[in-house]
Amino acid sequence: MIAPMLKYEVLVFHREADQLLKTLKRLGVVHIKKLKHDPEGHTAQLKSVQLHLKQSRTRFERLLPNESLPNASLLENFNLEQLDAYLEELKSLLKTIPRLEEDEFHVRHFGAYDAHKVKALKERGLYMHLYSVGIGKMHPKWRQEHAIEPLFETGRKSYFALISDRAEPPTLKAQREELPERSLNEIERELSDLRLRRDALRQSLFTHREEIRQYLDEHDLECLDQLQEVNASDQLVHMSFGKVLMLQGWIPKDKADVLEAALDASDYYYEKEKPVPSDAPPVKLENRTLGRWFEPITNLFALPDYHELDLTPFFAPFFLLFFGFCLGDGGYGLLLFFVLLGIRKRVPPAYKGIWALALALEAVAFPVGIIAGTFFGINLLETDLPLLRQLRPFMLDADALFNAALIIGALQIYFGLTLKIINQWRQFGPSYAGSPFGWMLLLTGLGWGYMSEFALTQQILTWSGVALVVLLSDPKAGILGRVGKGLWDLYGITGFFGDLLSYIRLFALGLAGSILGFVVNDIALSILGSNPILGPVFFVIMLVIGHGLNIFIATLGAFVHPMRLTFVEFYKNAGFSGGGEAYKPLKNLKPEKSS
Amino acid sequence: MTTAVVLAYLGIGLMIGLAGIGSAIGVSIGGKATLGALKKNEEAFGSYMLLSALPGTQGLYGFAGFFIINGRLSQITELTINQGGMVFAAGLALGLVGLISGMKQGEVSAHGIEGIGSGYDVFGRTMVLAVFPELYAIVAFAATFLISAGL
Repeated sequence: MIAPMLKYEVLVFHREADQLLKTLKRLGVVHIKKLKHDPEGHTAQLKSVQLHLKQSRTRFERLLPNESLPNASLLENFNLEQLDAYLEELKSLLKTIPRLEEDEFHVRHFGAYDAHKVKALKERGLYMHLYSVGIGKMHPKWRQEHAIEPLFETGRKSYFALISDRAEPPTLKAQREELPERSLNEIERELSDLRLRRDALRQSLFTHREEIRQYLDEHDLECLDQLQEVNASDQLVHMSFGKVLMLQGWIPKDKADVLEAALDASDYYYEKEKPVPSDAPPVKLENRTLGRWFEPITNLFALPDYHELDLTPFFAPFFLLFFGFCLGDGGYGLLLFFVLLGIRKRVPPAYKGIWALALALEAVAFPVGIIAGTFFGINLLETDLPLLRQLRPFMLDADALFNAALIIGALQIYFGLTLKIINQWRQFGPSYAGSPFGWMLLLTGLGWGYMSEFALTQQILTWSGVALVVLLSDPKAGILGRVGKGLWDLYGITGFFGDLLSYIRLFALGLAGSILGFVVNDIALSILGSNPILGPVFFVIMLVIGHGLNIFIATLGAFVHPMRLTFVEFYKNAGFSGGGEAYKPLKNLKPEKSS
Repeated sequence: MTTAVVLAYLGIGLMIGLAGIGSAIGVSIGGKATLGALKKNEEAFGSYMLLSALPGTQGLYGFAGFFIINGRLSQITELTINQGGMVFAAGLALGLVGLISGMKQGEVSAHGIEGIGSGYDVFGRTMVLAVFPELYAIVAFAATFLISAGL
């Protein structure tokens, strides 16, 4: 259900506006009504800080070593304020060091090469040129004509130096090589320094990792906190030449006492109102156990409009059943149920709701899978065990499952129409409930007639349904408009058949999953008999991998397809309009600091 | 080998082959979109992976369809031309629908992945929209089941 809301309008002298916002923030229950969207662009800077923090966090997590570097030193006076500079420096070092290592590798081949000596030679009019040539390709004539000194050989090439009194290198059938700008010693010294700095930075990040994460979290919260303050402040309406400001907000009815006590204590003038149909109060879902577990699924699609019914508790039982049908295997449901039970102590508090939902889905998947006659790919209808003989009357073969899927679909469509009748009646009055009621009569008459015969009762049901749909599709319109709209709506009967056929997926997904499970067993059994020693090993491996993959695919499908049946078929027939804004009260986001 | 048997083999080949190709193309489209979206937002990899995996089921429907038909064919001693034609029709229908719905489902998933990568909260809605094209592969699979029952 949706928590009932009250609207408050509070008047405040302009100098006390900040105080009012602080009071509301402390209470943490008022959802400020949004009248303007960032009219003066106040939030742009805060949003850019938020983005920057997010980038810093990503960069930090990427650069953080997996374990402590035992030989690395720590940065002296590590300062969290300089985190970005450290991250930037480390990023640059991680690019520079590999480049220098390449240079080192290159220069190492030139032995005790010293760039200073080469420079000194140049000043005396002697130039050194470096060449490489394929092994055995050095022409003997070159040695006679030039002062050549072989340097080293790799597997494919030999390198040599040529000393000449000309700056222009002589033309030889050999590859010219660049003269290194620095000597090996210089490069090695720099590399050593950079590596020390890199390791110190990485080790410091590792040592202070928890402080850094906390620092980023706090700044992020600070930013969010300021953003909501700026947003709230922007919604103050200026009255009486700016001397008086007005703030509109929504509050759950059961929290009204808290707000009124605080406003009275500070002598603020306020008025409260119940929401009228033209208002758009924020939506706070307040469901009990089963419904509450399914709220994340409702949030995945859209929140209901404040004035309509929250369909969460109404689709929840169907969703459980659909999941079981689509998973189609009692063994998978049982296994996942125990796995979830096993991890219950390790589930973080924030994920307890999702865990409870998953547990409920698997708890229902087990009996539904048994009714569908499959247990880890084993066809229970063909298995002759004493216990199963007693259960067999409750099991469904493929043909019965096909029919069951359609029957469940029809039930959900009827249930949706019933909710639509209640919803329309509550929101707009009884005349608006006439059209969905007409559809119920029409579908009942047609369905009954199709299954038996179109006798008088079925005809009366059908034609009364048609009359209600035609006359009450738009109760506000004139008689011609009503009939026109009603006839157009009657065309929508094709949609009901489409919706009904859509429920075939319950049968098909379950069948496909159980067939794949059977195939895994079949392959595993053939492996078992192939070799007396390795056969049992690969038999187990095949079962684990095969059923593991099948469970993943089946679970994904068993979650997604019921979502579609809920959000498309059920929501459509229940007349869901959606579009509600989530209830987000102004509140302290920063953790309280003890004085 | 009779014409009926050739038709049945062709049908089974199309059923497994085309539906499998559809899934392979569909998951590849999702995978490519994931690699692009990871450059913008790598935190949502779980959502990308689930959406990329969605078009993987068409190939399984093709295989499950083959399994059902195969089970029925093994019970038939001599295949008539009508029965061969039925298997061919089932294979062609499931294969073609699996091929195209797998590809199109991959495209829908890919658009959703791009949206999530760009910072839009569209995971739930993409999940719902992406299973729209799959319905027709499901219907084709159900039709294969009904055809096999009539063999």
